[in-house]
Amino acid sequence: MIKYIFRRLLYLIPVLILTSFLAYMLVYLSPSSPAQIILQARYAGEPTQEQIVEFNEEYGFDQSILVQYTTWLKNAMQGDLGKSLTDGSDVLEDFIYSFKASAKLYFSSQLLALIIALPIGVYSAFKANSIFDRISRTYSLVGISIPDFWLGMLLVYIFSIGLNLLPSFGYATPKNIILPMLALGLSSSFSLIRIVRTSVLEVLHLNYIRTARSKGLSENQIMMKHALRNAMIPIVTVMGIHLTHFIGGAVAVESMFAWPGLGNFFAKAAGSQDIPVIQGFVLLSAVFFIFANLIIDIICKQLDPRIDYQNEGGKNNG
Amino acid sequence: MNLKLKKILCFSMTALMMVGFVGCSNVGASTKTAQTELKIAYGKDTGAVSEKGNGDMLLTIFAGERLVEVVDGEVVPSIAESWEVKDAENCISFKIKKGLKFSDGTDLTAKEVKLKFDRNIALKSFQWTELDRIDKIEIPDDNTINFYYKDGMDGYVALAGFAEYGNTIVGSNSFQTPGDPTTPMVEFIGSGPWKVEEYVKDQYTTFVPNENYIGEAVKLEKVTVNMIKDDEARVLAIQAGDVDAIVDYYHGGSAYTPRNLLSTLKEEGFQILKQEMPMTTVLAFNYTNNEAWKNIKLRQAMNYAINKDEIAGLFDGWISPANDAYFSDCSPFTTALGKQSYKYDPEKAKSLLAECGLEGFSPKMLVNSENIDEVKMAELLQSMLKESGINLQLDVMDATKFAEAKKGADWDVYSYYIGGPERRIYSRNEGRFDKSTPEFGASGCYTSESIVTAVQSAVDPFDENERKKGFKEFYAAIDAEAACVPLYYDAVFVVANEGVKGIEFVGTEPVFDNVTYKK
Repeated sequence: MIKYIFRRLLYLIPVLILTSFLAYMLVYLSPSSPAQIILQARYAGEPTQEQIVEFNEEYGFDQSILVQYTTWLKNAMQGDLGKSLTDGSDVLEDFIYSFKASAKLYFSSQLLALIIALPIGVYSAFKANSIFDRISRTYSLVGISIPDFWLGMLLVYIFSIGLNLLPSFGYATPKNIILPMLALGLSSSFSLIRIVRTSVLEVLHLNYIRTARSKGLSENQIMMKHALRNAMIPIVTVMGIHLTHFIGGAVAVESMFAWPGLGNFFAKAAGSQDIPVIQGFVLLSAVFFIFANLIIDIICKQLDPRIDYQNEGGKNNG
Repeated sequence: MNLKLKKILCFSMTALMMVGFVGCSNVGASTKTAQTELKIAYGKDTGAVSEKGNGDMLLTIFAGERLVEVVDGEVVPSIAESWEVKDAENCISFKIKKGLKFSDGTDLTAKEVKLKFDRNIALKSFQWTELDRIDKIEIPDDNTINFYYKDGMDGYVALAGFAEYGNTIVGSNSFQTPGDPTTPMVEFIGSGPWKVEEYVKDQYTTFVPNENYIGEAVKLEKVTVNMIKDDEARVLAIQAGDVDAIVDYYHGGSAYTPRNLLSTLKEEGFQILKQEMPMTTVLAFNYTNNEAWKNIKLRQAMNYAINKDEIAGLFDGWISPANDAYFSDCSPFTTALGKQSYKYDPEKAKSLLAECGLEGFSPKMLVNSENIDEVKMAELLQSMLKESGINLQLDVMDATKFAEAKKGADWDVYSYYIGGPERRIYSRNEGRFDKSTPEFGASGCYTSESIVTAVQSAVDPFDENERKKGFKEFYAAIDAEAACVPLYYDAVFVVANEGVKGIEFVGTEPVFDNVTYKK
């Protein structure tokens, strides 16, 4: 396992170089120039050609793309991701600030999703085709069809406007997280219920569960000791896929609740072609994803020791 | 179904119904108490700390002052008590009021005023200011600052340029190295009625009274400007009582309360304060890259083919159609022409197109997808122009692509605004119609010798009557040449709780200095 982790960490280097280079290329392939957009916003008017030339000289955009990229990479390796072109703030500091905000929102919403989805999904699987199962399936189907930002608006109508219980936006107090967390958590739970149900249902039909039943184990023991552990592997994998919410997938919800997370951070940078911010975001997101996926693989290995990552990148030999 | 499950289901349904009922109910009114704080929702960050920028306009109105201001079209004193144009119009000299202080208690003298202009010139931040024409700046004494021009001062428009937001004066301690304007601006220290107490980027800015302000003290103890980017979210925030007012970003183009929600808000008891601006949304022609638009008959055909009442109808009655020539009657210098030269007439448009040999004309319109109103309007224009046999092709793209695409040749028309807050009435007209100005760039409107002459007669004279006469000539020239299609007159809206009193518009900008609030 340690060898595997080491190997995965080694992959980090080419992946980071490749992703950061691709991000650089993508920004340059874009038809618009950062100078035009940033200067327009900075001075509330069309920039002159002279201003554009000076801007490009100051930030090195007049040099070849390879020179720019290698300079940036050299600085990045020393922990210097540069400064935002729009307001001169430090990219790393801004990223960390938004990362913390996103982390709070993501982990609380995913925890909520698990708390909702696990009991409902497991019970639905146990009572397959019962009325409870049908209701839960309908609930998750309807839920999946609701976009998370729309759900957010609905929650604001109920809890902020109707009941006057919770703030409709902001970040300053603990209360502020409740509505965006509910919007994202409920949204994730809808799909998670279906995954949990299907996973548990599959496991329940396997021979070893039948054997456990024939040995006289109670349904609770079967579920907790035998079924759930195996059913957790696809659930953990899906939770990993939901990580996109962490990095940028929650932009609509973040925007709606004025939550200063990574989605808003990136949307603003992309809109203004703030190259150092976009580059820093891509690089740090790639690092995060690689580590997060590594952790998910380790969790899966703990859940099912038969998984062999040493052999051809992870074949199940069970 | 077992009994337990039935009970759970019944309880859940009852809880949901209760939530619904409570959501629809009105909490009874109680005795109103005076509030000390006003919370505002605003669609932009105030940019109170920005290495090279000048901060948002709301910030500069709250916490800043300029040498002069523009009110009702006239340049009026502010930091400067008087000014004089001398040396054969090569120099303008301002006398600074004595005893002024910045919010940090430091003195505001000519030396501090010079710092900001040195910074703007170093950064080439000239937009709408005429600072590009300045040769040198001198401060003969603590209360005098002289600006010398390279080729003479460009009339009243140059004087009004000192009222531009970017020319807001900040104290020495605003800069990373105090007194060195080449170092980043790390704090906004102005001399306005408010001062910045706290700024959290992209979240909020709190303003408290500036105890060093020499004018009348503001009435509230605190104003918090919350940055809520999403238009609908700002509306939800005021409905939820989390903010007390929503202020449009009054530059135009983005971050304003959706016009189709204003009636609902009014019905719910909110105040809707409207101030029309000398700003008009027009359909502009790409005449520089497309010879066809140099034909006046084609431009006239487009004017006849568009029903402006129908366009204004998109905004639920809150916005007026630009049926008169150019600007609405909102300011003494923007009086309407009093005639409608191009009434909606698709048949006339068809015959003009036939005269141009352009039957089946298919112009391409650039549309910024991030402005929902613009998208809706483009779709309406597309169906409307069919009546005149014009097949409008829409090219919808994001804001960054849009900014770049409009510089190119591959388009025929796009909508954008001319004018703006009153302090820009001179510079914005000159910049949109006079090719020799640095601002003309990619946003210049159709122009000709007669339009340039007319716009100069509107923005240059120091004499008020001459300027008023010049504006009439300018409108008439645009009208005669069908230089663009004026679509609707823009306005700035403030939505506020019933108990908020004293919001004023000075010129076209909302001011909160005399606001009191009971709820």
